[in-house]
Amino acid sequence: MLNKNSVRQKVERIIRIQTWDEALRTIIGAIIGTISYIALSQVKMPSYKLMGLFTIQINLAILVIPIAAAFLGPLAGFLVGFLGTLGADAFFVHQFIAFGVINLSYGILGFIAGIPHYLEGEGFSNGRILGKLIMFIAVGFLAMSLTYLVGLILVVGQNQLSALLYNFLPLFSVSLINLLVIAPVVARLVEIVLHSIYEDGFKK
Amino acid sequence: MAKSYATMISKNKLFAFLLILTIVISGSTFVLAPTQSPGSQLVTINVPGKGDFDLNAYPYLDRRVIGLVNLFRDYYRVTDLSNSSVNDLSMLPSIFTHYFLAFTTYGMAKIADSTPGYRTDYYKEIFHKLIAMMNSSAMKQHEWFNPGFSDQTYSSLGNGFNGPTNIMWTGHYTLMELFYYSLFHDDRYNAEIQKYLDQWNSSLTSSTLWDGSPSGGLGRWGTGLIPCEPYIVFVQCNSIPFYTMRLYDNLHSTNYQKASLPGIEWWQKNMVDMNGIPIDGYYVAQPLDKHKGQGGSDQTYPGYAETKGISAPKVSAYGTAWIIMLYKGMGMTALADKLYSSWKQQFVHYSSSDTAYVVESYYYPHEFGVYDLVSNLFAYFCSAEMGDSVLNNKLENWFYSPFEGSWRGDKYMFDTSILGSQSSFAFPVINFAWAWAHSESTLGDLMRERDDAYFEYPFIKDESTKEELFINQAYYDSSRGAFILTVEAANYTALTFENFPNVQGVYTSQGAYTGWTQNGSKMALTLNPGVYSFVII
Repeated sequence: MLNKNSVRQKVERIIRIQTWDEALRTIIGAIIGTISYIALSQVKMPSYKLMGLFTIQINLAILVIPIAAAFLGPLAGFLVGFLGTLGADAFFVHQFIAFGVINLSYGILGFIAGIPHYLEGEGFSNGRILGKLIMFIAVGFLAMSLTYLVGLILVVGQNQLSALLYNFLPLFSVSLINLLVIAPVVARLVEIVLHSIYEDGFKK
Repeated sequence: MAKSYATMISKNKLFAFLLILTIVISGSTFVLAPTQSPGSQLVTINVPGKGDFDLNAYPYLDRRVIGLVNLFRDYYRVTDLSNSSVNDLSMLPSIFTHYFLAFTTYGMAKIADSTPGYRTDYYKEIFHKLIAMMNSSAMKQHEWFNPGFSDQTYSSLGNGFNGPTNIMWTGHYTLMELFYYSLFHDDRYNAEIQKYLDQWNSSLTSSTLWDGSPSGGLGRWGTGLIPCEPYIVFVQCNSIPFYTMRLYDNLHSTNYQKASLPGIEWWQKNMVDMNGIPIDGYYVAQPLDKHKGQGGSDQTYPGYAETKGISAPKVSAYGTAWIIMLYKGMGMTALADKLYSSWKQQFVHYSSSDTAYVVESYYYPHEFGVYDLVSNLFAYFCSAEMGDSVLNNKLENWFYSPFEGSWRGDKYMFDTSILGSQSSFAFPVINFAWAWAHSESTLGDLMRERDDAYFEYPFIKDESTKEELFINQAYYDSSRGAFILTVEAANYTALTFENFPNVQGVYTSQGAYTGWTQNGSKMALTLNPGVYSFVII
């Protein structure tokens, strides 16, 4: 027999809204993350192509999504990914693209990356926890890529070849390095900074 | 403190590894990112008695555009310009070949016009090659005989590849020649220009139709337009002679453009679909049986060209983009704006916040073939001509995302090998398109009047070497009597100016420059290797 209260408690624990304080922190963090994403989306960093195929570039905006997820949980991760990209579209394109499906893919990345409670133990100072973060980001990235591609083809209606060549490949190659290499480093550095500010290291 | 950070890093080997990787990757993006446009910092130069000259206020040609021109200067294997000898067109795209030559010439005109005071063989030679290739027997074979057309078949109408019912060739060819004249004041092609203008004028003002009935003021083909592939008229193809007529009128104070007005009115009333998009073709008469397949199964004659597979008028993103930029160039801004608004709404798709692409037909939005590549290129040109930098950047972000530009000596090029078998088509097209879109001048600028006095302004007539020479600014400011020059030379170079008697001084931001000599109306400026900005009074 499914206990509704037990399910609700589990959901609240996963999405970090068990207490008013926690919910407030999640929402405020998501708002700050969303604003950061929108602002950083306009920062263009230098890039080059590896073997004429893979674009190598630091993407500051996309880093915000897994960082928000790692510290604030899946709801905040989802909101930063979804609302951040949606906000960037609204501000800089002045329209919503593909009924929000592309934005949803970024939200999915943030949600999946934020599921584990990384900070309950030693945090990212522990190699296994950092590895866990990378693993969940990788799963989130995979889900994001599939949603993005399916969204382009089925909702935007783009031709498969052009979606793969002109949209997916650049996004995939840029995101791969940023999400799986740089985001974990930034997460650990943020943790060090927060630890030096808050004695308990921003845990719970 | 340092020790504690070192402990934090070394304690977690995965973090240490990722940190090193991050530093390497981040560093590599700064080190390995291709140098794009060095030497583009423009200065303000103070000239005694004349005040300050802010060089940012004058047309500037991006170094990469010049690098692409350098690529194309050697790309065409044309050494002898007599038409019969131009047999090798294998370096050109195998389809859309003569369009490529024509639009390359228009783009080259925009580029040359961005440094209007630089009028040497550097640009002229490319025009000669492009015009010779367009007029070659090899081109006639490729674009006319191979698809099954023949001069003999249409002889009763005086037709042929360069005849009066093939505006898609005569229009482009004449505009290519006229741009050459308007930029360089060299009249070597003027007899041909005159011949085709009179041919069009005769067709458009004919009081009888091709079958002998009255034309009703709409010329030989009853539409105010001239056909291409017999016997179909296109709005985009006719925009070329209409533009040419206006440019010719501006240069010679004639009134050929009057003959275009009924046609422009006719197509707006009769060749626009329910979405406000010009229909891609109208059959004025039944083509020969072997060409009937060009239309859809329900094609009627006369009648709109049908979209294959469905009973709807045919539409084209590239054709419409072409129409818009030409009409904008002609100064018909209200019409261009109205069409542009409809075109954006119907053909442009946004796939992310910073990318956009175009589909060739909104009846087939899932296709992506050569026509869709071409429609994205024309969208890229059109948005640049319309001054829509937001869409232009998005199109560029999308279209150029698989390609990276790099320098090889003084040549700049985009590697298109990722496209595999389509690369031979894509390489010249994608490389030249970037140069087109990044030139300072527009089709509207090219339309401006240039009377004889314009060609009496000082200009650079010759250079001692073209190797690794980049002329970014060459503009005579007639209102202040000053020649603006920004130049990068890798070798010792002498630039010879014509129409420049009594030069009072050459100035840089550091003060007076002494490396120049006066010889009658000529002035020679000598440069050691380096980057220079000058104001010459």
